[in-house]
Amino acid sequence: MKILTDTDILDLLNAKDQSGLTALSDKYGALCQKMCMQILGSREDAEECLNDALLKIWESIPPNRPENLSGYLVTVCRRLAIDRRRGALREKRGGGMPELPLDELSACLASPDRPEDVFDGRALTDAVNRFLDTLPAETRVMFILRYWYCLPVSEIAAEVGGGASRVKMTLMRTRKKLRACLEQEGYL
Amino acid sequence: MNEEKYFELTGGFRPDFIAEAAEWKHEDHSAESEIGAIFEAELKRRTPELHSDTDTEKELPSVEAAEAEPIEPMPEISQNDMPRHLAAGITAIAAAIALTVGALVYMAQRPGDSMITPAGTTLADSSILSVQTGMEPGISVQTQTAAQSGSSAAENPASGTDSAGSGTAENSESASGGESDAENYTGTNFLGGSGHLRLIASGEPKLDFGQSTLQYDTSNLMGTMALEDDDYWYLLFGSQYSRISKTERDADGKAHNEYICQQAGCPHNSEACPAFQASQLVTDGRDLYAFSFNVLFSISDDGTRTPFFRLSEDSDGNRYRNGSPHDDPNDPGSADIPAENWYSEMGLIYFTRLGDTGKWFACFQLSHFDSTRPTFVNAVFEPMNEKGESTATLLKLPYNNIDCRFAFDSEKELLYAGVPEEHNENEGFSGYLLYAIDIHTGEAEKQSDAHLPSNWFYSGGKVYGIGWDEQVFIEGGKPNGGRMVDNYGCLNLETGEWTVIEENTNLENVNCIGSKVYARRQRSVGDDTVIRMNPDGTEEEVLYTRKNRITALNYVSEGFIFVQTSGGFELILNGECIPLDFRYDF
Repeated sequence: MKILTDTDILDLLNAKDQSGLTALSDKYGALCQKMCMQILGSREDAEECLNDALLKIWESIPPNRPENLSGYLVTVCRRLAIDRRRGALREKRGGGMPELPLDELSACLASPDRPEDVFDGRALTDAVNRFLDTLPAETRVMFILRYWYCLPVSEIAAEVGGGASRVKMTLMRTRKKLRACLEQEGYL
Repeated sequence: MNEEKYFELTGGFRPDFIAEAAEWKHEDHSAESEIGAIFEAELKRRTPELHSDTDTEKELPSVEAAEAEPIEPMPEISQNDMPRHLAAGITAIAAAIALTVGALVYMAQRPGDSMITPAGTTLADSSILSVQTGMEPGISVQTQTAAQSGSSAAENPASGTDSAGSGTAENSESASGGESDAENYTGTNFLGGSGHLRLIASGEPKLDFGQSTLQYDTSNLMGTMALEDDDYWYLLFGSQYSRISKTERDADGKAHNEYICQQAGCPHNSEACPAFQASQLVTDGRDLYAFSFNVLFSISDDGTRTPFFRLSEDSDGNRYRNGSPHDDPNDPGSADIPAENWYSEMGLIYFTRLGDTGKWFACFQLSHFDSTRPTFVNAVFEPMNEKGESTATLLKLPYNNIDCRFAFDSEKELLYAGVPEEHNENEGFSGYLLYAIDIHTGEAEKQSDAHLPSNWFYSGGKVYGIGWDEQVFIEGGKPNGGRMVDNYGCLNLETGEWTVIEENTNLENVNCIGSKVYARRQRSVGDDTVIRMNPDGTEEEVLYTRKNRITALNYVSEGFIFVQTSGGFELILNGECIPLDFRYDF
């Protein structure tokens, strides 16, 4: 089965052709579900999240025509999943919520002198983005799949190929490099 | 960092990075396309007159004129611009461009012979003809004489006693109720096929084997393995369960995989469903088990489950319970159990047989009702007795943290594992150190201050793997920058000395079956191979060649190689390449 380009899918959605929605789901649905599973911990919730995201996209195109359809879908999906997670935690129904990989990231960003405010502000995100820009594409993809998509290492290995050990080691080295980069910029 | 800060930070990642990751799988990342793009760009740069959009008719430079000009070397391309596997150098790029891509090299066999030389034999028992490099189009055939093929790794334990394996020839009676009984099973098994379910390979979806070394990713609670019975091969990875018929082929002669459960309308929520069974299936490297509702069951071919282990008490006298802390008159003493030992859910992270000692190692993850951070129990245990009692001997690990790679030395009865060097919340840790763990006492002793290389394995008292070394560039007699390179080498545990065996190696997925190392090697761009060699790098044999990029060796044992290439998945069975139409996402 031929995989449609994002432009083709966008054209279908713009024409309110439901096959566009199917194609979008076929192409990126699995990744979105995996991401939502890691944020919500429930297959049912993950499926609902994806369906809600697809509905939002259906309703918004047209008049919107996102420059990047895949990014648009996964971003909408992630926001929905985060909102749902926040709600569950607020209502103390979050006992089964999966753990996010925030410890890994905070370990490489922590500074004894600035224990909390180091995480504040746009400046840090900009610095991280500058760093990500210097990385080889595959390394950057692994980093994003881990810390934005919250995928487990095994799923990342399936996405990029190779074994989980390679992914794990690459992430560890990348975190070390990130820390070194932030230290050099005087951020830590 | 709390969750809100985490979401705030990561929410600011550039949208193009997010999209790049989403589209990664669907793009062609083959060496050919990347080389082609680089070559095309350089060709346009050098010969703009031939690539003008406005004027297509140009006189091509004569051969004589071209030969008279000094040939400029290809421009230096930084590692950031090149895929990692091209870091071998510019000559590799030139060679790759010269190669005719698209040819498939088969490992064919003569009747009665097998492709794979059983572990432990030397090259005196087999001979390998030179492999055609694929400069000519078409199919090149390599034949290899070998001793009769060994059976799957599960039936052929490693011969080496201090390699990463059990190393014993005799198998004790399995928890499934007797080896001979199991192998003679002819009925329908719990995965829906016929006959005894045999383990082919287990662990991470890379090179891994049906022996006592078992590696799981920390976030993968269920087993990853390849199995077979009389009808099917079963590939279980994460939540993807599929099977491949050994006999059925599509109209175009291809094998194909299908979802493991073909029962129409099945909700996949009972033991009658193969997918449900697969979702609970784990292995200790030899036998199969089911982990369900915080209990580890041994499981026989017909699906009968027998309780095997339940974490209830450990060697320090800690007791564990499922549920919220409470005082239950039907559960005497439950009020005395510390809150941290009550768990809402237990996950099985690592699980491995420790040879034929009658002991197993497991790492359990305990989730709690009132905490977002799970706790871990790393322990050696024996199966529960008739009364359902069992005590887990806690491993005395620094920080109670252990890496997913380990090895068992059956002679010394030591479990070797990687332990994080530091546990500083601010600094994290810089690497893993090798510890030897006494399986009877749980005492763990550091073996070296040197960091473990990645993909490490233990053999002959040494640790092998791919280490990340710094290559410093010298200019004008002074260091001028550098880069990190991957060297395959050996770590001497006594001296901490790291010896490079192969500098800037193109070996990947390195792992050890018995006394031999299996890996994939990229000999040149578009020419990936699966090789076997001694740990010290000698006696290298080519087992399989593919005129394409092998992105992963998913499951390997003697006679069974399942690879992922840039062109799709392939199954190599006793030397025969089975054309395969493979779906990886159901």
